[in-house]
Amino acid sequence: MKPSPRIPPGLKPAAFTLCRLAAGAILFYASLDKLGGAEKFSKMVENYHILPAALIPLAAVVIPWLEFFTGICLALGFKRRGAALLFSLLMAVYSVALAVNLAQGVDMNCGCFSMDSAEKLSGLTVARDLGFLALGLAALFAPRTWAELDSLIQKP
Amino acid sequence: MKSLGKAGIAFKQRGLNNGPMASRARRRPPIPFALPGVLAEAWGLFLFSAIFALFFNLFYTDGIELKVKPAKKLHLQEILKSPSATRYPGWGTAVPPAQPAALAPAPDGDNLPRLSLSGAKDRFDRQSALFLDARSPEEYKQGHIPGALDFYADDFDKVAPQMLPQMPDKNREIVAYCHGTSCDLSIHLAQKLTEQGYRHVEVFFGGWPEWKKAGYPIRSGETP
Repeated sequence: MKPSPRIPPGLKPAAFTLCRLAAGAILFYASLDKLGGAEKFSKMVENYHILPAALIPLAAVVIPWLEFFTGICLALGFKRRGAALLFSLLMAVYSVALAVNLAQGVDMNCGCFSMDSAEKLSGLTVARDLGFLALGLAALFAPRTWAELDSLIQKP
Repeated sequence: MKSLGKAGIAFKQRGLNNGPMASRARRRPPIPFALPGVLAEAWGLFLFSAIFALFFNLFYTDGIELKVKPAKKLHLQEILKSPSATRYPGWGTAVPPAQPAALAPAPDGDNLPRLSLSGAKDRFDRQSALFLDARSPEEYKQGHIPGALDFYADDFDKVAPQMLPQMPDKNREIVAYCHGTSCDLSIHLAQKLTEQGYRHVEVFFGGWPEWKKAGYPIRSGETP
């Protein structure tokens, strides 16, 4: 990849690194409140009305841990691209799910960062998730980021 | 240092780029983007998380059942036969004879439409819908949406024989609410009603707190 002449070398990896760390931290943080709260979380998933009933408990069990491990992998830069792909997919799915429910005028809880009822769904929530998606894509397509395990493990 | 000037700084920068930083960059070249590799990584991570999550759920005390149990269906005919039915004279006639269609398995409860505050207000203004207050009678007395009937969802089996005859029209729009998003009584109620064959049940999820906060008309006491 040829660096563009105006951007000082080093800035791009720095920006990519920030994206990766931010995405990892966000996802890790988001998972914490849901771990172990599968019953409550399954109700939230149900409220989204996008999954068939048979898949809801499965999703409620798997999604928090998927967020947890994906967040850790992103933060550490371990399997960075795979984790970033999962992160981006998650954010894309969340954005669509939120947008669909928002468009239908459904009044519901986001359940994004916490399972409290205070977290209301709004256009900002969708915009925020799209912003997160951009972070994920940056981390996915970055040629290299700083302090990532992948680079250290990579054979010369 | 001062004598270096612009050319000097440029030289120094070039020097930096060719210096130790550059050699470090050479040692760690960009990781080539290969889609199969990325997919494999993602799949591996997903599988690991999923298996971990399933095991966690299996051994965790608050784990949930992964199989979905079909909701217990309460049929109108059973209610009609219940002993309490006889205590309300004339109510049996208010209900049209149960048709097989009305008792057909209801659509899944999780397809219940949710109403926003504006949606609820709209139905309230048009007087098009029957509002049902799924909270306890005490809470209902303290204040409710005018016109809403008191239908305590926790006692559905007890309350239903009194309430269902008052709402014989299964095609009527019904709006269930309780005390806000932290409560699922309205959902329970709506699910039960859907199972009873009511076709247009909606849940006003914001419920009483949202309605009150918006300053919309309220009423207290036992009068609907």
